[in-house]
Amino acid sequence: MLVLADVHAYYGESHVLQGISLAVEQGQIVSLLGRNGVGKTTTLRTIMGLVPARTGQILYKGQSLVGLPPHRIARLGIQLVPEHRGIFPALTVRENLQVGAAHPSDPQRARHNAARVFAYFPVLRERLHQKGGSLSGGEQQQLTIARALMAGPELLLLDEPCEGLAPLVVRTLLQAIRDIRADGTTVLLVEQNVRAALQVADSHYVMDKGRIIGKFSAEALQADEELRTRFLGVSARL
Amino acid sequence: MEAIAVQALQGLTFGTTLFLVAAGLSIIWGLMNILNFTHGTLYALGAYLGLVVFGLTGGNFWAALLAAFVSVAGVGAALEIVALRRLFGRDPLYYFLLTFGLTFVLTEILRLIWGDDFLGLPVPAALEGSLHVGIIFPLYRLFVIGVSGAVALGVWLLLTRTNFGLLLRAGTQNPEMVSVLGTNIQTIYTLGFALGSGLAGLAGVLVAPLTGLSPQMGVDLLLQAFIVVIIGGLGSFRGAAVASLLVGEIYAFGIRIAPSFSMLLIYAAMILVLLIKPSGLFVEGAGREA
Repeated sequence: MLVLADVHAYYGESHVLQGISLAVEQGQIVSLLGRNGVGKTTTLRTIMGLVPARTGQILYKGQSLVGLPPHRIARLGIQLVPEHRGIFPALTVRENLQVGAAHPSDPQRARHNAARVFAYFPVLRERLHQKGGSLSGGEQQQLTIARALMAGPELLLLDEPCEGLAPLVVRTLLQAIRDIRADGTTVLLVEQNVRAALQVADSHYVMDKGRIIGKFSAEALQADEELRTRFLGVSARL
Repeated sequence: MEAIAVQALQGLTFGTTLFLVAAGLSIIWGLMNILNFTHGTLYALGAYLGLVVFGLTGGNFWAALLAAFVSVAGVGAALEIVALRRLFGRDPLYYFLLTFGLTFVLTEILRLIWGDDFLGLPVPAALEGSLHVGIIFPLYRLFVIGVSGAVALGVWLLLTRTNFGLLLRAGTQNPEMVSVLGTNIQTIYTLGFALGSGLAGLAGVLVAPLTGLSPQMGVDLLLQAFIVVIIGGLGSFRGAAVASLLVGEIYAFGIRIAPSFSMLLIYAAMILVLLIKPSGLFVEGAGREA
């Protein structure tokens, strides 16, 4: 569904992505793991068109995304849920969701999702008329995922959704991610929280210093202590 | 008592028209982070275009208002597409230089076409005369208050009740997210700039019968509109409304009490607000980066 081939990207002079190649199959949850600052967020932002890919190919359903502006990429069916959430703080929860629904990539999927978001995230229904900025961190995270789903994406890029959230909220989010996939949305998940990623993802790419180290199953990651210690900073089995 | 009522109405006339100018300035500032110096010149352009249409239609003031709004909105959209867009993502200083320079160019164009002399736009025949109910107040000024109020209400409904208004408010808070969610933010910028410009053009026609027309007619008003935006809070529609009326009344009563200090009173109000609440009375663009 999504293929990156030897993608290079820069922030100013700094060479952040140094040849990223990865593939996400339709219907999968794929995680992208690695320490802080290795380029995981940049990878997602490059797919979304927020950071230009200097060289390399990004293909979505066979179509090149390189050079397209973010709104065009969104309308092809990709949604990015950014790390720091990016809610509209002065808009109500309902209005935040309406911005997501303004130009859906697939109106039928968007309608289907609109009916489902309150099943994934019941708390949003209670907060419907509150300002986005008044929500707790966990609620804001749920709002950004719900808002992205309102656009009817087929591929959801999630950037550290579990960061800084209480275990109970993390559990809610992980269940929602499983449900979202079960309802037919493919997920590429960037996580620092390796334990969380292992619980939901089907396969795992490990990144280091702007490059992909390899693709691993959960079992392979569990078995390889050196890999975990060196690239993920966790030595214990998870 | 009567004098106070008349002065309050004078303040309201000035305040409501000031609001039309300030609201546009605030929308553009909040949405695009541009301090638009051409705004005062677009206001003057609206007045001149209104004058032309008023003449062509044999004195149809409504047509003059509508034509000024539409054509100045069009000029605003063109400015955004042709000039401002090229500076996207650069230091705000470039926008300052560009809009400042464009002001000179546009003012010279007005001067070339219509000359330096004051021109007059007559008060529409139906609105000549005064209202006599305890106080004596010119009908046309009441008309100005009514039209400005109605337009303000219309803009408020546009911002709060329509999809475009929603996307414009969202863009004020986080433009990147608006585009990630599938909306072309560039289109929102163009339309927002056009809306703000159109409001300035409309205000130009409304005020012209009261002040007369000159190429520099927007200079003082632009300064006052900046002050309104600072007092009201960057990008806040409500803030611009409250601050416009406040500045209008301060100015009107200031002129009565101490004519040479009326502008000074407005500055004092601004400084007071800046000291107490530096972000302005209302803040709605909160959360926006940089």
